[in-house]
Amino acid sequence: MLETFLSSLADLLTLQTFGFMLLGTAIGFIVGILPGLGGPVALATMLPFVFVMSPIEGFAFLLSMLAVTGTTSDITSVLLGIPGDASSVTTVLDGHPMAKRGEAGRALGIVLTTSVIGAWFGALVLGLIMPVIRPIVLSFGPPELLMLAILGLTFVAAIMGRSLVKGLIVVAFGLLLTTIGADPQSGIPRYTFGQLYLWEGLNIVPVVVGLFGGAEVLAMIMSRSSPEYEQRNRKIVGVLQGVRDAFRHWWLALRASAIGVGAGILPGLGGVAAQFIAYSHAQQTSRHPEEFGRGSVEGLVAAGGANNSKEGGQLVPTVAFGIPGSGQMAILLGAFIIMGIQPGPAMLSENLDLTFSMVWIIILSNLLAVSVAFAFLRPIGRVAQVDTDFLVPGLLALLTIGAFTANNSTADIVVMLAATLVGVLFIRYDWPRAPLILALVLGGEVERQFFVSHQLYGWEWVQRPIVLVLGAVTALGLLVPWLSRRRRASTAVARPVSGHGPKLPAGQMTLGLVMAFAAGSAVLLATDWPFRSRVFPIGVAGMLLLIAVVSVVLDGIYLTRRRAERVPAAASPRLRGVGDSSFPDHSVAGAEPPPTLPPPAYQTASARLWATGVGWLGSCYLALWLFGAWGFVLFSLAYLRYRLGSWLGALAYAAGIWAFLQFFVNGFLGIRLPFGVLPFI
Amino acid sequence: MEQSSNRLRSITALSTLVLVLAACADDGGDSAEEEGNGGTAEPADVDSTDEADGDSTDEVAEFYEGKTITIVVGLSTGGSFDVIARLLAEHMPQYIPGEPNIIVENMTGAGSMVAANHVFNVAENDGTVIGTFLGSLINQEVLENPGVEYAMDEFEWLFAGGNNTGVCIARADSGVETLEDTMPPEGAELRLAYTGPGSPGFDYGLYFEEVLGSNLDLIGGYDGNAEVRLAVERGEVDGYCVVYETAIAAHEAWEGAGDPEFNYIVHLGTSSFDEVPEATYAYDLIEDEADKQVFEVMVAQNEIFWPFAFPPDTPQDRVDALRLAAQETFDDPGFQAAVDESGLIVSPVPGDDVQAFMERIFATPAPVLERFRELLSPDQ
Repeated sequence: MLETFLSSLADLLTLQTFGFMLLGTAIGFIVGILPGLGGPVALATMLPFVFVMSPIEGFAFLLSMLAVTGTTSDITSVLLGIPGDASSVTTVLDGHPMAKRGEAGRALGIVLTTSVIGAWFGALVLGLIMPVIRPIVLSFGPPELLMLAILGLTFVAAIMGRSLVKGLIVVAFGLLLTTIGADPQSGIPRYTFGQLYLWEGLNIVPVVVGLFGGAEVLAMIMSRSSPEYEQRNRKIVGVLQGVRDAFRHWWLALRASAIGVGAGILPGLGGVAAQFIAYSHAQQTSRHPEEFGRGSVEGLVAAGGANNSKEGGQLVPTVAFGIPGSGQMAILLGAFIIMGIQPGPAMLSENLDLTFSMVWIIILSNLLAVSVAFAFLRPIGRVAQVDTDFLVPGLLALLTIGAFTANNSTADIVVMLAATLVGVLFIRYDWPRAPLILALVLGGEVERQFFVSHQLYGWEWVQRPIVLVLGAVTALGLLVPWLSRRRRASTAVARPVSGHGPKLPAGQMTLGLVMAFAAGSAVLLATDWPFRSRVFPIGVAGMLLLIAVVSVVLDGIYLTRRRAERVPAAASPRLRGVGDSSFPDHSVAGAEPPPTLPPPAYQTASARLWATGVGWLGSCYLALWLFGAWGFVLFSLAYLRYRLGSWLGALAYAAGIWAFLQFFVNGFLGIRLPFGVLPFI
Repeated sequence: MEQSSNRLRSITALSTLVLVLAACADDGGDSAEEEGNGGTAEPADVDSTDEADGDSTDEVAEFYEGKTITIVVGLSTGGSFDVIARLLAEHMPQYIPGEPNIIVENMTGAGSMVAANHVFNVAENDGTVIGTFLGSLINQEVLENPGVEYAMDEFEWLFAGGNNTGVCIARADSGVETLEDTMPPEGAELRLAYTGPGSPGFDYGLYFEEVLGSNLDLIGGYDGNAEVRLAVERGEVDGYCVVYETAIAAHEAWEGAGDPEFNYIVHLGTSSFDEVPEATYAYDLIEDEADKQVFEVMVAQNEIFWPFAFPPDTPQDRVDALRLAAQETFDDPGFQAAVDESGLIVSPVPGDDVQAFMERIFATPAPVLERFRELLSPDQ
């Protein structure tokens, strides 16, 4: 077997195959680093090219591309706060706050190093575990997978955000959103409002793009340049410190990688869940859980490790059973069909060399990509230094095209804008956004596995041994953060809170009421559906209604009490967090405490700033609606002319956008550009 | 003052830009332009269909020259529909008069219904757009399900890629060797897994329960055939129904009756199936004449696997040219080699036959269709 392992490396190192791997790595590098475009887009657009390749060339090309997009999209997540796809959301949580407080270099050092650790770990596990994988995967039936999904969701609800109640609301809301579409079990359209587009449910791509990207860009328009931020990242420094951080937390990096691989291996759980579970684990075991979400080194180490080890893990069920763990793997499975390779036991016997070559591809392409990234860190990092005005038009074009790739439909862009609105509201009222993504990914799975489990075993499914163990872990995951939150709350009363605090509770109540209203409507709409189609939607909508009402009542009590005590914005553990992050970084002995994070623009903006931001964003999409992709050209011209005051710069930029869309996005990647309603172009 | 002059400058610049852009568009928007031209050139071409064959071919060639045909695939990248479409895009242009370029576009949604609706209602019907979607969309239409905005018998059918046969497989340790074991009087219970409504396990399962009184426990909700196979392997279910060609592609040992751990308990055809001669012939077990006809309708859908169509009212000479080109492509050794390599089993059905098939389904007597709805409605 060792011989096959080594000879598969030799197969890979032929001129042509290695050339395809280099090409794949290069494309993955670029597409991964572009915000809004991630692994799925790269794979889907490049898949047709493998028709002319041999199996090993095809995999060298596609798999290297996939492995590298994970690594480079982490760079974008850190610098811009926009994840490349759903599976790098947790990198944003701590990476972007680090960049905001001037530690972009250090954060990049951490993610790049943990990328390599994670990817290599994942690849090695792939090679080692394949021969013994069947019994492991076969011991996880529908009940076990259901319990794992519940575990992931509760962990995330419990730890993300400042309060368990808000976390649970967001999870329940996300689960409710997954019931949109034709019910796979009855074919009945649920919450589709006569729109055929919604039949297949909400696609995760426009949602991620809007929730994170859209919300981030609007903040850029509203805050204009943040001189502070530019000043802090004037030079990308501290990269080596980041590398040292990653190695200092090597044990955490390995544990996170192991979780990434483990969750990736189980069909039905997949890579998106992997990073969330790893992140939760890191927070639960950290001595400074309160730093998570505000630039925690440990959080970033865990996110980076899990994010890149999952490819190795996800390949296991794809290769061994033909069951893809994610959208990207589903596309890769298409490559198997095209090249006539049948996933299954044969991948361990006659095609073992191919399986092993996948291990090498992941190892080599990651090494390549990370070396290049380190070498070009200065130019790449410059993105953190340029005037944000300069980024806005390009980002809007990229994000929108990214969303549009989901179904090539205008509705994709509408979904993206709706997600942007949700993202803005969540930031404004300090609700966690990330749990929504996990709920969207796992919701369908929870409903499906529940019904299959119930049909197979009745209620006895809860008594299966693995289910019981996972249930106990879930309960602990809920209890421990709750207890430590209470403990912290009792010691944190004296913390000062910044001036924008008082606005939050009233708005939170409104948002809670909106959620309660949505939940109530969802229950009413579902009552006529057949039993099996309505159980899950009514269940999660009922849960959402209940928690939302509890949240509104709690906020109400808090408001009344505060008024009675006449304390201006007293600290509440639930509302703490945005403005008071001047915690010392305990992880670096003797280091200066990092500067405080500025509060999000949405919490401080004046009405005029809101009008400016929404006005510009609205005009961009109006132009898009009228002129299609040309709208971006017109928007860049107008926006930059106004903001930078230079016709020449604006024209050059607009021309650049046009060329980029035409030649790279449309010409090279073959992605269709949206058409406008005006027929002149 | 300064503001107004600024504004003036902006307007001038904007209008200049619009002009420049409009000029550029002639270079950039190739495909859009072609579609536009196609539209305007159409009337002359349409009128010429009854002229002599040679002229018609010339005109078809003239039309297609330099054009792009888009194949709208209703399912996602990398699936079998997508693979077939892309293989055709590579090998078919040389057989079409005028040798147009062919590109593939995936338009997913509602189990390919979005693509069917699009090709039927929106797409250009000048011969530059081909659609491919699940043949079982005909069920949605017959069952009058919501969302249907197409009429399957009005498409201009070009060909179908496969003529397949369904089978049901069960673990040998389930104690069920043939479907008859599940029927009264023995009535042995069989747990049959399926993915969702419209999948063979669900449709035939319901049918056998209702018509033959089989003692089946239908377990639904699995995500695709690979997952169903895993459930059978775990032993949480006893068996499943699947297209035979798909089953053996995934599990070579199942070719013929090769695997002693599994039995083919029934095959779902109306005529005998030589590949698995020992499997029960479901058609023989059905007594009622209307039920037999329903079964024929259900089975027939396997005969038009991977169907490809033009939108309704596409000029007949272009339909004919494409049907011919498809036949020539399927005979092309290069195409056959590429298909073999992909592991898919292609057995083409000519466009006339697909068209006739669709018309036959809709000519089914009303009471039979009523019975069909009764048996297969999701509310059951």
